[in-house]
Amino acid sequence: MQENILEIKDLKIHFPIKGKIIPRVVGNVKAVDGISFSIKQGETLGLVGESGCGKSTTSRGILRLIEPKAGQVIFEGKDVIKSSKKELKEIRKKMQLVFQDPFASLNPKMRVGDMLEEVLYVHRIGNPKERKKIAENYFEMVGLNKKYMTRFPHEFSGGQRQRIVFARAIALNPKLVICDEPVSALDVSIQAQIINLMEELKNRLGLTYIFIAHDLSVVKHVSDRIAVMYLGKIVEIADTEELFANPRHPYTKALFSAIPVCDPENKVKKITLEGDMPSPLDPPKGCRFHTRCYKAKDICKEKAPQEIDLGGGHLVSCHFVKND
Amino acid sequence: MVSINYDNEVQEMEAEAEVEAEVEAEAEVEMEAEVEVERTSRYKEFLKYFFRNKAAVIGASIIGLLILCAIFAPFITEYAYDKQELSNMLKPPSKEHFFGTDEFGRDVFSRTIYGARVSLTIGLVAVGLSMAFGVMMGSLAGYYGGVTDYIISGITDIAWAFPTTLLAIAIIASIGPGLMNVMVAIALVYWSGYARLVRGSFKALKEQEFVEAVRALGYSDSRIIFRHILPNALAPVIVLTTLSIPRAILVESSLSFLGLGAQPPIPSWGSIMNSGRAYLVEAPWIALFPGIMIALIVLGFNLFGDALRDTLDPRLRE
Repeated sequence: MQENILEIKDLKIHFPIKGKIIPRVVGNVKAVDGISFSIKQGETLGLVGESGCGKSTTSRGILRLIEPKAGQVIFEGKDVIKSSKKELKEIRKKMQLVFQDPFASLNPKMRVGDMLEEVLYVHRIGNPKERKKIAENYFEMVGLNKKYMTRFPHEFSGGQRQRIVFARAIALNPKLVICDEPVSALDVSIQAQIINLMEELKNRLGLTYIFIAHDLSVVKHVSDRIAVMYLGKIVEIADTEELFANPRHPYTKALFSAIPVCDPENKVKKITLEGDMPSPLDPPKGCRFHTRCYKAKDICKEKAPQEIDLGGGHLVSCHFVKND
Repeated sequence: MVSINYDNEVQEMEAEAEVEAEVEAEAEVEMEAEVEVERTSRYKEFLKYFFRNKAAVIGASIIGLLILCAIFAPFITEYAYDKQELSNMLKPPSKEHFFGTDEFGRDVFSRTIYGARVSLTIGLVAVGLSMAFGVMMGSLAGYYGGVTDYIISGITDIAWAFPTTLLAIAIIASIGPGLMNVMVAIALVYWSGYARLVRGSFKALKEQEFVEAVRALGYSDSRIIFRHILPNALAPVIVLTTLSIPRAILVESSLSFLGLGAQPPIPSWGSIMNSGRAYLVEAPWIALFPGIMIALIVLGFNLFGDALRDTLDPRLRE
């Protein structure tokens, strides 16, 4: 069994809401409210869930771009949350983040080659000549012509920009790359290219990915394991095949039934969830999903479900899943 | 339950992708024909783009010409700026006196050319000081937020609340008259405008993904501020500067009029205009020519500033 590269224990990220006139905390948006999971070296973990469930917040919390309120993020045996500024810089070298929108994640006033060299400079790698070489090397590794390194971001297409973002992320030779919806802003054909690039880089550089997305078919294709989030909590986590074959949580079932099927004969009844996701400012008591769950009973309103281990790393939080 | 046919989809996608890649490759061959820009010649490239802009050429010429006038004033003028010739007072423009003479028979042309020295120095130095200080304060307030922002914004709001000239008079009253003090006073009056402007831009840019991305890469705060946020916040600063320089020149003229700035007989455009004000009907040329100069410098800096802003933004080139 490989070792865990990243372990997250009871991570909580809250955003305080302050009063308009008197700046005191009047409430908390509980964007991420106690999630735990771990990732093994070389694995790809998919993180899925609808908009606003806290996927992106989780990714930023892991890197401490947003200070978490509580919990532990253990990366290679070190707690990221307790580490000093200097340690954090070292950790950020090994942990990278790729953003959703390649049009927003590159400085419009900087040549793309400079961006690559700059990241090496900041981490004191090589001299100017070597840095140029390394930058060119990574630029070509992501499938771009090094001739274009003196260009500005606006001169590239979305897919090319996302390649540049990947080049910058891997330039420091990281262990873990957190991809926050890296393909959802791209055309379908380009999505496939970027996903292939991700897999190629993974094999070549031994990367571990956290892959955040809401496109389930993409997640299924890419991930070894999938965690399903709802309103700041993980409701179910399992190996990809196991999860798709045997989803246990009502929310996971509803999500999967929403995937379009290319088969007119297939008459699976869709589970349609009603209403909106409740506000994370005031999440429902008991099970967070009970307001929209088709299985909800009185117990769901009272008691938050415990995480049940179904074996083989399949964990689910629901009162109606019996361990058998 | 649910079955999805992903593999087929991927094959289709890949086929499409290949076609697109071919199309892209063709486009790339075309692009290669473009001029390849070497890194070492970036400065030259900047100048090339800058002077391709006609407005930039006109603006730079006007500013350059006026600066040359200020530097070489003694060689250009025939009369000393303070030489009085009472028999020749209030004469209209002629061959001997291009811009006519004032109420003491002094040559308005000489005074205007010498006036460029005071006015341009005041405009450039005072605005430069206020820009440096204001941009720094605004960056700190916008980037760090919280208590830093609260304190800096409080001070800028207080500075903002006073009428410009009144505040400048108050400052000079406390530090004494003189040109150096006028510059300091004008800088102290104008910095708050920069601070507010830059703070707003920083607050907006700080939340952009590209800033978050470089934070995730472990960059230091100063690098993020100077290399990543500031270049993107510069456009409005340049516009404000092109507007502030002529305003500073005008404030100086008001202060000189009150006897707080340039001390007579040293001429500045503002003081010449103010003394010409009393003779607007009999001798309009006294006020007219320094007025034209101020209008010219405003035009020059506006053209120059707009072109500079456009050149600094790679998206607006070509």
